[in-house]
Amino acid sequence: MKQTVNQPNIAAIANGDSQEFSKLVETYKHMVFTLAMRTLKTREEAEEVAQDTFVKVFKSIKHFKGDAKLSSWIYRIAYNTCLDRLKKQKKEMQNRPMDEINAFEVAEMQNALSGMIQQERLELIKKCIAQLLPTDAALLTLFYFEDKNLNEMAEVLEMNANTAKVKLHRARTRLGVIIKEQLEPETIGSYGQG
Amino acid sequence: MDKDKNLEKLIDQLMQEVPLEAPSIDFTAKVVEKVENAAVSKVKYKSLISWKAMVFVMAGLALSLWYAGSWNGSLAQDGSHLATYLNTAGSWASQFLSQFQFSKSFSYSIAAIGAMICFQSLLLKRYFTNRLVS
Repeated sequence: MKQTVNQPNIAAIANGDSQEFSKLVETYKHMVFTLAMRTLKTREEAEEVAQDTFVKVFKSIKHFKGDAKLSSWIYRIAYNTCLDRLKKQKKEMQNRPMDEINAFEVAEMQNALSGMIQQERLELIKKCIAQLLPTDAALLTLFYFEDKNLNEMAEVLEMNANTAKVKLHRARTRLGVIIKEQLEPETIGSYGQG
Repeated sequence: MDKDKNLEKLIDQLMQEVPLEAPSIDFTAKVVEKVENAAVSKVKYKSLISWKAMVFVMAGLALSLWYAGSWNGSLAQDGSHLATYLNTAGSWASQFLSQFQFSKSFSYSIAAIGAMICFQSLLLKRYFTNRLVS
């Protein structure tokens, strides 16, 4: 999930240099779009929100003090823009119950997933992420964008690290439940044998 | 807890495996175009009264006040038309206003409404600017 980051010239962007700004867009567009896509679930909306995010970044980059990572600052704008869009839609998704997954089930899931061909496995994971609540999907996405750094993720989400840790644990468990549901017993059985 | 650790490990592995989503090919071009359009169509406020005219009016007002103030009570004695006029107008205004009795709460309400209008006009200005710019 990591990308090589070629740091753009922030001062030039603040002075309205659109060439330099296009470098920034190129650097972060995949991450911003992925976050929007996983949160909003549809490509069209994700594209629109990702564009809005970069317009906001351009307008407010003069206020960027450099006390946080540029990437974290951009993700925060992207996350808040996604939340604003969700509020406008007033779309409500059913929250998944926090079912327990025992160690045996985790091992079975692992076997089944490793028995799948890569493309199939990726499709399944994407499908499962799409079923997560927008906030859970955003949380998990940001955690891996920030190299699993809980403090940086908490900073993006504007919450304290402990709250972020609890929410992350819940999001992981919910994703686990969805994956378990997707991998029906017979599927687990057949892949597990391989 | 072992099961939590195992699940955490599994989700870590899966999430890191999923590639990033790719936006449309012309994504960057579209964003840059939006940004450039926004910069061109930025709303610029131009006052209805020019800066020079405003200075002229303010200077005129200051001069009139100074002129009226400098006569201080001996306006009528001077015999000048302006002084007489100001004196008459002042006494007419005080007579006219004395007909009305304003309660304190009424005056405070008027002041509060005035303050609200000023505040809301600022908010409206910002709102319309944002709408026009974005």
